[in-house]
Amino acid sequence: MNQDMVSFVLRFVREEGDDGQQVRWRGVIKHVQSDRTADFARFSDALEFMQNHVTETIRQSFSESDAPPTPENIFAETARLWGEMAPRYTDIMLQSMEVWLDQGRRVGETFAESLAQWNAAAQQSNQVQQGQMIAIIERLTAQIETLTHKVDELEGRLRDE
Amino acid sequence: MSQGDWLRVQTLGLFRVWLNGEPLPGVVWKREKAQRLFQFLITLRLHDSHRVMPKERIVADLWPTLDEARADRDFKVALNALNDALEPHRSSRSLSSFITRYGLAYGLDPDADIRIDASEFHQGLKTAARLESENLDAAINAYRAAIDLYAGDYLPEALYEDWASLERERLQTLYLSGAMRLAALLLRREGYQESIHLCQSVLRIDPYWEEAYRLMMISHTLRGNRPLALRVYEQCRQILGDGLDLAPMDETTRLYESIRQGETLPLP
Repeated sequence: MNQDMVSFVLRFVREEGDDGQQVRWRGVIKHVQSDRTADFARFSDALEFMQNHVTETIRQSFSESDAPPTPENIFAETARLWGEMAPRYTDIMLQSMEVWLDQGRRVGETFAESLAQWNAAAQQSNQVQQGQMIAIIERLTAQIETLTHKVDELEGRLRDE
Repeated sequence: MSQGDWLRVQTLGLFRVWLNGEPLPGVVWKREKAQRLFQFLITLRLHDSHRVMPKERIVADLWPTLDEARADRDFKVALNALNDALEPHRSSRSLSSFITRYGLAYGLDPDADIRIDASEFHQGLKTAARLESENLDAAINAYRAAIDLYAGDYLPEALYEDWASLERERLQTLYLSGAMRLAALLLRREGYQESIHLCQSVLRIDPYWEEAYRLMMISHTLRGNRPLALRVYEQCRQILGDGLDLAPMDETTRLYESIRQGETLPLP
């Protein structure tokens, strides 16, 4: 049985400033079979790393077979593989996006509920209670702004890719 | 095996096994495949203590290039060698006390006394996190105990194996966040030197972990070595720039400015 295997472990690291305003993603990718790693700040660099290792494996498989390792057939095999993988990559990114948006919707709903509760409470409570409620709402508002910023950034990155 | 036998397994940094406190010598495995099978079953247990896996899937993960007949034969040989290694005095007709079988699926017996360092490491971190809100010193000690268990990467002998990579990654990221948490808590107890060592250890694994640079800058400043704190920032700036073409985050630069101007630093 002849079987080639190429595996990668991909780690994303999210870093956020203490004020929550600055958020940055970076990552590291590891090719399992060689234990080689590459750090990246743009996802396209991780894709390039994967492509290089896959191409290398394809090149090796050609060198062991009867078919000569010409640039044309290496290119054809690589194109076929990426043709299969690219739509899945898009799916993964879109699913991630939906998770973010869903979280955003949920925070929005929580905010709306809190606002309704505050309105009800405001009619009955004294000024101290109202102050506490306002502080809670302000925190929620800040969280929504942060989340909106993250979603915008993710959308921007998807467009860039 | 007699009632009450127990295994201790070190998976972090080195692979070693003790039976009732006595180390099993390397030769006991006889076959490399027996050891790999045991490591695979350990990895399975770390995911879920009750998990078993069909033989075909175990074989496909461990020896993907073998044909079905050869894989089946090798599995039986490896399993026998594994049982012999773990229970040398077991009679051939008695059941294994460490390895369980449900139909054609295998796993480690969930009731067997098997202590795995990776599992204790994870549990230790969870305990430490829980203690943070109750008792800072107890939390610090719990973090220390857990972090000490991380002697290195998970199953370094199985470095190129797919099935071990996910667990290795999971445990390494737990180590990175646990070590950073401990480094931050130590500043509240003036444990600056220990905090710096932890940050350096994190940076050896991930040289771009910016929080580690920040904590080192704070530690050096609070120890009275402002020039060294400022040098750490320069080092951070250079490494991020050279490796990722990134500048330090605003928070790191603000901290640098505060140190430069001799302002009082807030503890993280």
